[in-house]
Amino acid sequence: MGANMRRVNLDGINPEQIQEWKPGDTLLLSGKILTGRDAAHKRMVDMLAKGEKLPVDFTNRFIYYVGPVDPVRDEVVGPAGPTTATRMDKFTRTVLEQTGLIGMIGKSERGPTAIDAIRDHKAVYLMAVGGAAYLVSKAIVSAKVLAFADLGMEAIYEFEVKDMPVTVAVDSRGESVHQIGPRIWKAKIEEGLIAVK
Amino acid sequence: MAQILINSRMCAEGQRPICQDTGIVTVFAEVGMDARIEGTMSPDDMINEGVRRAYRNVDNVLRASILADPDGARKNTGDNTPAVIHYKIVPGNTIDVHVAAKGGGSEAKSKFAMLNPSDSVVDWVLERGAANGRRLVPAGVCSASALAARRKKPCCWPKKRCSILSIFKSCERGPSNRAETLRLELYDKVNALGIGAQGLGGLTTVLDAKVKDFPQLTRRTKP
Repeated sequence: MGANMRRVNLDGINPEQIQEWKPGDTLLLSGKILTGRDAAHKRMVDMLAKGEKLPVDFTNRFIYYVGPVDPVRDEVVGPAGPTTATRMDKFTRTVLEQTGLIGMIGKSERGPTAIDAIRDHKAVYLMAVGGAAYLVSKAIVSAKVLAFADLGMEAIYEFEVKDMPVTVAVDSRGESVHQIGPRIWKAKIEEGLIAVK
Repeated sequence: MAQILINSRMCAEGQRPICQDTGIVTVFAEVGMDARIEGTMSPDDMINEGVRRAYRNVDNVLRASILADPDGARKNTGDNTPAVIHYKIVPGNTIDVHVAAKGGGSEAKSKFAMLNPSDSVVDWVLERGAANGRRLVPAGVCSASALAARRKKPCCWPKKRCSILSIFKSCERGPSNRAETLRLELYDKVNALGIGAQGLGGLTTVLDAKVKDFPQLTRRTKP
């Protein structure tokens, strides 16, 4: 597992650059990302099925699975931690195939359906820490709603981020840190190398 | 873990929620037999008005996360109402209202089964844990209820899960009843799966285990 940390500028990123990322790599993301979760994905997939043009161009973009809190006082956006990516698994193949998206950011594991789609399209899935939503929001320097405003917190936003910490969870070859990690720990526990208590 | 701890401190100082999921409001109201509520609003409406004001408070606005018509249009209600409200009639002349903002993630991981009397609750939880444990973020609290018939609904789950983490005290003093024995066994065996916090591998898949049991009919099944 890679243990490198690097700064990544998402503005102008191309699919070749993400091929060298390995599971476990820590990245500090800067640049613009799009957001969307359950309702936005359902609506987009329905639109694509009807041959309708999406309101946002996802070509070579990253999407952050989040439903943020509205800002107060001088906040750009309220707490904005990741939501569980597994719920978007069933939309992943369609979105990767038809929108030009190259990366996703969320929390928790991706299932086999999504991992296969990620591998087939040489995309990546990055993980932000769940439970650190206020801290993550401090890495967001601007936020605006681009589409689906009627969905409230599930709208498609564009966030500009600076040094947002994420970890590579599924690389473009379909290697998943959520499979590697537990496998190693389960083996250690079963061999008696580590006691649970 | 460092990010989570830093986040917690920042939120305490900044008076903002630790997570973007500011929950479904779950209310447990213990109403004294001698208490009288005046006014024209129903208690449900009073509670929901409180939720509305709290979630729209301009100094600390919270997230509206409730969808009406869940199997249809799934439209956000805009003010995080309605709350989930449980009433209990108790002796006395006061009304005690306990409020929890229950995150959607913990609710989404709930499972229910009808087991046979000789089935193992622990084995069933471990099977479910292996399937769902990766998705417990940051790490979970495992709670299990053996219920009397199906009528004692899973409403006891949120209240039990919200209680203070106390597994280490139970480990120190040892179990005093079957529920405690089950609790300690679940805690050890779920963590031995090695799933870890956020599903990345490790020793802390669950922070605690809570067990609540109710008397049950002698019947073929164990819910």
